[in-house]
Amino acid sequence: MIYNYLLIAFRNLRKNSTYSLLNVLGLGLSIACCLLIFLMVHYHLSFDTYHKKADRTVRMVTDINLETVTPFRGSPNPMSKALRSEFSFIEKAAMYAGRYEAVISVPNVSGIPDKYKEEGKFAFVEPEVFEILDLPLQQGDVAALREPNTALLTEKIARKYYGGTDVIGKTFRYDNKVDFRVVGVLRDLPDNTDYTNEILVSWSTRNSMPEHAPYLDNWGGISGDTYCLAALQEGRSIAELEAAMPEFRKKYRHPESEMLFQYKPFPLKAMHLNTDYGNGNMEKSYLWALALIGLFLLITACVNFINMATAQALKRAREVGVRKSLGSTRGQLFWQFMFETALIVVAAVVIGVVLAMFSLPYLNTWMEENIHLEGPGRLPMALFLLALSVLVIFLAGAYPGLVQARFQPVVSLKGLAETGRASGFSLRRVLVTTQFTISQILIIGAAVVTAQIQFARDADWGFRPGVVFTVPVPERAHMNALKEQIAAISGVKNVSLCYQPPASSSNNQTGVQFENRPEGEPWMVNNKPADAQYIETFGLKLVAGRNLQPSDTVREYLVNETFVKKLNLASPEEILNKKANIDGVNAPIVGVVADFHNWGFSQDISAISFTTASSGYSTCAVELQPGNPAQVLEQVKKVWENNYPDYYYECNFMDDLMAEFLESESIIMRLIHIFAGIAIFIGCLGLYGLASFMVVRKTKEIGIRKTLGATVPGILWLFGKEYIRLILIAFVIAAPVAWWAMNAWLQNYVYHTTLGPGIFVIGLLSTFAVAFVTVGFQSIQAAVANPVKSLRSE
Amino acid sequence: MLELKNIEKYYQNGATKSYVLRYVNAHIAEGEFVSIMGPSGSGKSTLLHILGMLDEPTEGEYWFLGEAVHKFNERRRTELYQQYIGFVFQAYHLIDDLTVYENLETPLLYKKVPSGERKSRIADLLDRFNIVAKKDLFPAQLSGGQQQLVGIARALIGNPKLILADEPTGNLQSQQAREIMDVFKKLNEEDGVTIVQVTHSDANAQYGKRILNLMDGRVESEDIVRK
Repeated sequence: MIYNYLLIAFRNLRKNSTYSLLNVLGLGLSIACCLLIFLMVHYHLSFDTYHKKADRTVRMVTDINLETVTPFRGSPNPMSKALRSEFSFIEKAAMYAGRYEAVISVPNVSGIPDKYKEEGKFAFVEPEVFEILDLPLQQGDVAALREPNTALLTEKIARKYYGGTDVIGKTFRYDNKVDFRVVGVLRDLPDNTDYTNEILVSWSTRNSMPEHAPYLDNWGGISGDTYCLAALQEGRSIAELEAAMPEFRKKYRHPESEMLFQYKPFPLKAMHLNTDYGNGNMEKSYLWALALIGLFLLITACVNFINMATAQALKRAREVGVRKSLGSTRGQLFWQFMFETALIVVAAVVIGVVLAMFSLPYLNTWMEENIHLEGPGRLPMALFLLALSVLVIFLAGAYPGLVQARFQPVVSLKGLAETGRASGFSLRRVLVTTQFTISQILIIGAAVVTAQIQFARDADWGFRPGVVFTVPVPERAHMNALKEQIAAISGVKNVSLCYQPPASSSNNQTGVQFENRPEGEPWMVNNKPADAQYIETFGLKLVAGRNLQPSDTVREYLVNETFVKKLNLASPEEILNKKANIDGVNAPIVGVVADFHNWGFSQDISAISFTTASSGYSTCAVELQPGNPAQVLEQVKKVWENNYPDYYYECNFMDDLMAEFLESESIIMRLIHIFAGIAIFIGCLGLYGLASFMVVRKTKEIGIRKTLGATVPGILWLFGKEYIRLILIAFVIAAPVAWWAMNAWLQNYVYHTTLGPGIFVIGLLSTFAVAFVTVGFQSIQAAVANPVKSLRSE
Repeated sequence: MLELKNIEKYYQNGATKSYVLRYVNAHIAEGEFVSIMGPSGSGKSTLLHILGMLDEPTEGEYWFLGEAVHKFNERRRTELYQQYIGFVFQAYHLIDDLTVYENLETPLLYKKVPSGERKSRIADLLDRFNIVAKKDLFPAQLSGGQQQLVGIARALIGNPKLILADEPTGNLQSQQAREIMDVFKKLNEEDGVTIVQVTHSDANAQYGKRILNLMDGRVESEDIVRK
């Protein structure tokens, strides 16, 4: 029986090869997308879930409680010690302080050490971290990490530095200052972890480092890269720890106010998808949106299948009648049709998997991800594919199968099966409308995301990104020489030493006390150390007062308009020559600059102060004269390397730095463009198939109408009016849904584009255009055909 | 063998009923060869479809080998049908995508006959109808008469007790038609298969033993064929 089903299914697919091809292609594409989306969702949901104690591990985070609550990723240095002594139900607690940048010097035979600049690889850790996270040791001893100046490396890093993994006892130097001895080698880290540091050095080393030692017992400072991880004892709940926090806070208070820092245990497994405390730029809502898009694509492909199958059912009606007269039951017929569907779906799955395999590397590049088909994700992937196949077989095959199996033999033998009429056709309308709705929602979504990115790109940031680039200032020692020498290069217009450019992800937030007000202000100021050339180099506009005078220490402040507003002063002039205490230094405010975007567009503009605190300089900003920069850049590099031979040269143009603020939006844009394109393409395949059936069915009608005097446009209208009506109905459904979803998305941005009618018109018109191109050709062909021919063939 | 009691078939069209069959009573004994005749639209085919359980009467009783068919659900009807009835159509209705061999095999697959027995039965019939050489051809490659031979062979493959034929020679030339009718006659006389045929042609009706004349859905008269 199964052989017979297979045989007839195969012959049928071959006979209707166009139809089969459209179906296999459409389903294959959507299955490929679903698979990729599944891999991506699965990957992101799997982050840090593989640790044996993941369920009972927390990271201590801090809410900074000012006029608004600011969530913060880190916790103070003494946190782990306090947790250990305070709560017996905490099994282990450990500090983990990642350094964003580290220069590692590895001695070699030549005597001149090899230098490596490592980003996000270096971290100070307490040895307890190995009893919390799964960081398996390949060789060596974790206990040795209690000693200062000891380090563990991953195999990858060991091979990179020393050419092999037998490296115990070898040494390296960190930031040209501190020496470390390797005491163990770790297995390479999996991709799905946010704890990606591969050079783990002993926490106790910090006791002898002047920049860290004074703060190790300090509850007053927190850094985003310094975490406290804690594993609770089995059976104890995170809520229990959270409930104990108010008491804990009173005991280990911040000197100023116990309310300022509110500590909170946050589950390790939830960290990756949390934008407040986590480090990823993937949000749960994006994963949901992706899953929804995957479902959309699947529905679109299944709709194609159902449409084409029911349109085709007429052709198969006679066969159904014959089979029933040969003694087939309804069930046997249903399964015969399901078998055909299954055959198409299996072919589509094969094509889908191949497509997914080929496109995965591109997806990884676009999304800046690291997703693989191999590895532990394989079993869930196979199960997903199996479930997906069964789902698609039933979603796509069940309805046409049921309809065809139910044909009355007597009626269908006469070739008058009732599919086409009332019920079948209105269902097909519903399905086509569904497809149009999905396409329009995706088109509108894509248009809104694009518009928002365009808005951010074209918007006035309040400073001129122009031809400005930055180079690092690794040591204070030579910075003034560096500045002078760069300024002397012809082609350089301005040079400024500063902490960071106006918009930056590195910030220095601190409290502020204005004039003689008794209390500190309930908000923080973003203090940006910068010299007197800063506002000219970056093109900041002075709205009141004057610029800073050159100095190496804090003598006076410049602030922005928001600073003035937050102090409730009526005009910028009022603040001039008043004193403010920022970061412990009292000095007059001499000027006010116009507001500029310091965070990108998703957040409010901060209160900002500039001051000539040269101890905080870490960047040198260079503005170029118009002209060919290549030669100038070369000279800047030479000058820099002369001053800092021990460091790594790096040059970043402001345009690139600012593009980083739009990174997650750009990723979303690319994704939604791709998926909207695919959804439209799949929809087109179906529409094309459907249109061919309609043309065939109406050939005779067209012939008769033409002999009765119908014109070509009149005939085209016969086809067109149906589609126009369906597209309009789809628009009525799609527009509010898309408006609601995209409006909610735009609310993430304090500064955003407006949802004008233009975007919706784009959605509607492009659907018309797509439908016209897909259906138009065949309709025109049918309309201009010679009626004598079509009538004769009947 | 089968008995029809007050069979009615009508379609409700708003308030009016349009009747296809009215008060049809008939009795057909095992081994008979009955022809149903009548003008177009008199309900011949509908009656045949009801006999063949492909269609249901709106009212009335249908007894087949002592069983109340009108009370059966679709599954029981299919079982009964598979066991006892073979159908021959005017338009042959072979499945285009299957070869002659596979067309013959299909009813046996639905009856879940084991493979060995399927092979021997098909070989038997191919032999009997002299179409062994055609077994791997598709229907479109055969003449009308050959197609109808395959149609009859397919109807016979399940060893039915009753063959229902709906104008089996309607699409054939007279020479081929005569050959087909001879096959039916032989089946009836030598193998004892009960045959009910619908026909327009007096000549074909003469092959049978009894004629039911239908007019506007009623059985108007019955004739006995005299040789």
